[in-house]
Amino acid sequence: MDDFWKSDDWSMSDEPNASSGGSVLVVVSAGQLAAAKSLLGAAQSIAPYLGANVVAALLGGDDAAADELLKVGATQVWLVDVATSGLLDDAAAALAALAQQGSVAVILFASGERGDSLAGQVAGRLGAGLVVGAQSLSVDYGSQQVQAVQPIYAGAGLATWQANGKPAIFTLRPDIATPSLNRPATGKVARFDYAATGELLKVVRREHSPLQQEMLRAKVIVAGGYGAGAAGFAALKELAATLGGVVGASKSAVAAGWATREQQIGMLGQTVRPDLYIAVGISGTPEHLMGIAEGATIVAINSDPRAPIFQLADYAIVGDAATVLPALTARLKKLYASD
Amino acid sequence: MKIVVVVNAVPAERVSVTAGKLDFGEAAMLGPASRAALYLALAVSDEVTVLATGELAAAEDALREALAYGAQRAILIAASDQRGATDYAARADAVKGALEQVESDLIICAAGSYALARGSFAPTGALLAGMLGRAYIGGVESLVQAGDLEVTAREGDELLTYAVPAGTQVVLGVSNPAPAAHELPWFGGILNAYHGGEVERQAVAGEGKLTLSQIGPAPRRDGRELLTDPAAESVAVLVESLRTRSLI
Repeated sequence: MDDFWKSDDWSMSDEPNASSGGSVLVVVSAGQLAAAKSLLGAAQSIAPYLGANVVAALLGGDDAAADELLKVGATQVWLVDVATSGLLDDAAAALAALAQQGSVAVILFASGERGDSLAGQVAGRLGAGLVVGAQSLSVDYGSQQVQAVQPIYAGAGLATWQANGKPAIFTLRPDIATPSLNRPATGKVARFDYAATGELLKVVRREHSPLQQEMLRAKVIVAGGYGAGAAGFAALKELAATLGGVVGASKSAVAAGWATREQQIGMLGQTVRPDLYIAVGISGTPEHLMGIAEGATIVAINSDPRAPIFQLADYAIVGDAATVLPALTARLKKLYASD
Repeated sequence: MKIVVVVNAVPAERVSVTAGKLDFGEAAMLGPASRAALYLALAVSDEVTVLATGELAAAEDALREALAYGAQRAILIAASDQRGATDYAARADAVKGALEQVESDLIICAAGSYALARGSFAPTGALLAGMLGRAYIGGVESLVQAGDLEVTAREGDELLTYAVPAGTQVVLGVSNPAPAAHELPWFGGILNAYHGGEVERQAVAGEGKLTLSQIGPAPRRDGRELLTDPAAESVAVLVESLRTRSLI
């Protein structure tokens, strides 16, 4: 292994200021400073209770990016020079070696398809425990082990996991914490040289194929279900246009022919991340709700007061779409006209 | 080519928390990403084994559904009792143990999951790849057998096609359900699944590194407002509130 790994002559555990509890290692990719800040904030919230340093591993970044991490709380930054696109095997191997080199208690990643995958590969290599999509971290006073609260089954419950042993690996939902520090960059930056094995698998074709960006990037989505009815879809299109949003649909509405397959939201369709999600005539099946990422403010309009979506909604209007939608659109038009 | 597809059984109804334990209801089905993973496997091989871990009492139903789609063999692995919650590392470890009994050239794992928060991904395939020291390709959308196996995976706005030579050890992850969204089991498969198909059971304990301390219901969201007044009044309250929160 030594033939492959070359690093400076300092390691995380050998640092003069290193604490007895080892390190909380925050893994970030270049260009993801917002996510890095949230992860560093979470790391700072648990590190003192573990007697640990906060260390960052920056994938594919440079000295300037490392300085940014030092300013917001990292005491050390490792620059890990591996490919951050395509396969993540080299990144996973490098991070596992980095963790094995020092005394790492906890490793944090940003949750998402790539973050969860990379965390999984590292956890598999290290034989570590893994909690994905955690919404908060804490330290149990008695055992000194890290605990994570994880939303499960589309918001049906919260599971609290306790790590047994080190390192424990967590991927965290966005914006769960903010760093408490904003200071001059005084920590150390070093390179973790990794002799990449080279991609075992070669890319033979690369094709530009944009996703349905309009739906995925929309800040406002007005979605209709079977309960909206064919006439309701015309009304919710007008509402979406008034709000500068886009129209989405449930599986049932697509099956009824009122919307296209590209507009379908849910596990069988697209996962969307709007700020405001207005669900009209949608009952709220698990299949549909899984397509709305956490963080959206949900307005539900449904004539059935027992509709499951009301359990998840921030605002619930019990009423018929044919009555509520025109009233809502008219109210908004009046508001925008007066602004 | 012998393919093992690791699938998720998902509850057919909304999950609830009862006395600190997850209640999945009576019925389970093959998850959408699992169906897509199986569909991709069946497109390039007629030697497909499906594996599921038994978080749900009705996981066997999901495996029978997989047999109906055309899988040749179905194995249900007993899961450690975590009151219904999923310890993915323990799950991957159990799958790894089961794979010692099943010959495979390729492993495909469903990465979509009902068991997590909305927008999260099940890391079973990535964990398994790490444990086995295999390469991992996530976001897989198509498989084509053209000499080498060609695996096309999404990365942002690009589709990358990898050539996987025969004998290469690789784990694939499938999160997009689209490839099988409109596929239905074939009639002969349904008959086979319920008359000839058998779901084998294996007791393989996965080593967990986590302890479940607690399961509780999610707290009601702050600021939830139930508006039952006539439409005009409800709409007025809603618009004012959304405006205050700078959402409109």
